[in-house]
Amino acid sequence: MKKIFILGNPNVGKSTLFSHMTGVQVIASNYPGTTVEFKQGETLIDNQKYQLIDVPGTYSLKGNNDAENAAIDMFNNSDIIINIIDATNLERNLLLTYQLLQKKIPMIIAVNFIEEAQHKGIEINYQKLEEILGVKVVKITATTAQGIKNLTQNISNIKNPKKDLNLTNSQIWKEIGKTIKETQHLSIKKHSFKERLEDLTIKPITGIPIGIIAIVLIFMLIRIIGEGLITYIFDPLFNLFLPLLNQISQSINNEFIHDILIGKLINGNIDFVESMGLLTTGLYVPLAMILPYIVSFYLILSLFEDTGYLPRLSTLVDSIMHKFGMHGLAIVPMMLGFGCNVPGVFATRILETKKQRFIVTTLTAITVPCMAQIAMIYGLLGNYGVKALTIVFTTLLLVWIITAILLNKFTKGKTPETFIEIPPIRFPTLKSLLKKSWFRTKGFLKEAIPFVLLGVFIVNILYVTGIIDFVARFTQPIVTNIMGLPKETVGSLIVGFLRKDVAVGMLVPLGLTMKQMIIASFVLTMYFPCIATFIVIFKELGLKDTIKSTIIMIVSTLLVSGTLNLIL
Amino acid sequence: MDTLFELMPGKSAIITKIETGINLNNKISCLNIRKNKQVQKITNQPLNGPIVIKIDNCQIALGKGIAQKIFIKTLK
Repeated sequence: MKKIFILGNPNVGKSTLFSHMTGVQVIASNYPGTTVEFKQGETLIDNQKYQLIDVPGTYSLKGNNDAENAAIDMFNNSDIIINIIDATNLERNLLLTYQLLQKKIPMIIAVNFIEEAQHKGIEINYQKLEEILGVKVVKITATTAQGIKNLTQNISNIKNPKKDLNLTNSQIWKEIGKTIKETQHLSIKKHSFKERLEDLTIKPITGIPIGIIAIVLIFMLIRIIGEGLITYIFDPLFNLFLPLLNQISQSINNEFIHDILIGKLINGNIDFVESMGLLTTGLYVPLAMILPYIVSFYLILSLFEDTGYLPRLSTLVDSIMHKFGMHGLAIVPMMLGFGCNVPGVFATRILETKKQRFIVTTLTAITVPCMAQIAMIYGLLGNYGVKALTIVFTTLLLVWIITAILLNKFTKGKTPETFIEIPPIRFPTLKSLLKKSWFRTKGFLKEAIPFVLLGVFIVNILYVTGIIDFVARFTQPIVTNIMGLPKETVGSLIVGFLRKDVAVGMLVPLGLTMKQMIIASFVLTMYFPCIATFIVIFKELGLKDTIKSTIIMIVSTLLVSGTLNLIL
Repeated sequence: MDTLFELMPGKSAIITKIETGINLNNKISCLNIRKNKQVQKITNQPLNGPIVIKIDNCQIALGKGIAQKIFIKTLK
C-alpha cells in the first residue's frame, strides 16, 4: 500500500484534513504542537487503498524539538506528500515546501485558511504559485472539508516535482522572496474584532485580568455543567434503575455472587457508593459521579484549545513559570493532565529539553489529580464542607510550588528561552466542540468503565482472600504512624494503582474523620500515578528518570502526609 | 543600535542584523525573523517576561535574551 504523508508547519490543519480523509478521528486544536505522535489511517482514492500518515508539524527539515525531529525522520519513506500551507502565512510556510521539493518525492500542495487570508487582505494567485513551484496546488478549507474532493482527485495522477533544486536555506529564502512578489498581493484592512481581541488578550494590562477571569470561568463552568448533569440527568436515571437492582438483590441467594454483583447492603439498602458491587458501585461511580465532570471538563478544555487562547495564557505566565525551570507553555500538558494524566504526559513533548519534560511530568504525576479523581474527591470530601476541599487544593498548590522549585534546582540541564508562535484567535463552531468532547468522552468510557469494573472486582477478591489484611499488617507502621490512617486504607492504596477513582470510593465505608479523609485524598493523589500513566511516564522518560521520579513521589507523599497528620 | 527588546510597544521596525548562533538563527528564521523583515512590537510581558511581536500575520513570543540579539531600525 502506498504511503501518503501529511506534512506542514505546526497548526496548519493537518490533523483536521487527516480526520476528513480517513474517518479516523484525531484531536485537532488551535495551537502549535497539538499532534505529538504519528497517527495512521486508510483512505480510498479511485478504488485504490492508501495509507495516510498524520505527523507532528515542523517549520523546516531541521527540527527544533523531538516531535519535529520524529516527523522528519519518518517522511523519508513516503510515496506521496501532501504539503499543507497556511494561506495567512504563505512566506514562512514555503521554506518547508522548498525543502520538500528538493527531496523529489511526488507532492501536492493544499492551501488552507483561504477565507481567513481574504479577510486579512491577502490575495494569492494560486495558478502562478503552481507554475512557479511546479507541483499541483489546490485550495482547501479543512474545517468544513471544502476542496478535499479536489485534493484526492489529484492524488491518483500525482507527479514528481518538475523542478530540480539544490539550494541552501539562504538561497531558498531568496527564491521565496521572488515567489511571494509574484503571487501575493496585500491590501491594508482595518483591524478586525478578532485582531483587537488578539492584542487585548496578550497585552499584560488587559491580558492579566482577562486571564484571571478566564481561569475562574473555567472552574465555575466545569462545576456548574458537571453538577447540573448529575442532578438533572444521571442521578434520576440511577434512581429509575434502583427498583430493578433491588429485585436482583433479593433473587440472588448465593452470598459470594451477591457480593460481587450487588455488594454489601448498607442498613439493608443498596448504596451506590459504598456497596462495591459490579452493578451498583461499578456502574454508578464511572457513569454518575465521574462522567458528568469528564463531559463538562472536555467541553471547556476544547473551547479554550480551539479559540487559540492557551498559548496566550502561557505567554502571560511565562516569566513566572521560568522561575520554576519551565516555559509558560508547560501549562498545556498540565491542563490536559487534569482531564487524564496520560495525554498530559504525552503533551510534554512540546517542551524542547529533557529537563523541562522531567519537571513537568513529575509535577503532573504528583500534584495534578485527573478529573476522575477530582470528581470523587469533590463528591465525597464535599460532604465535610468547603473547608476540607480548600485544604486539599491549596496544599496541592503549595506542594506544586515547593516541588517545582526543588526540581528546578536539582535537575541538570537547561531551560532555553521562550520562542513560540501564538496562533490567531478563531471561533470554533458548537458542532466541532461537541464532536471533539464526545470523542474524548468516548475514550474515557472505553478506558474507564472496564477498569473501574475490574477495580471493583479486585476489591472484592482482595477482601475475600484476606490479601488486604495480610498487606495491611506489613504497611501498618507507615499508614498508621506516619499518615494517621486506619490500616484498612491499604486496600484503597492497592486499588489506587489501577484506578484512583475507585480507590477514593473505597474510603467511604471506612468511616474516616475529616482529617483522615483529607490525608487519604492526598496520599492517593501523590503516592503513585495510576498504572496507565506510569506506563506512559516510563515510555517517555526512560528507566532512570522514571525511577528518580518515583522516588520523588514516594518521599514527597510521606513528607506531606506526615506533616498534615501533625498540623491538622 | 537598538534591539527588538528596546523597541517601544506599538512601534514598527526593520530588522537590520541578527547576532545569534546558527541553531537559534535557523529556528527564528523559520518564523520569518530575518534580515530586512518588518516587525511590530505588540507588548513586553512584565517581570522580564517574553516580548510579543507581529511579523506579517503572525504573533510570536520570544525571550528577552533572543530579542536583545536582534537589531533593528525603528520606522517613524
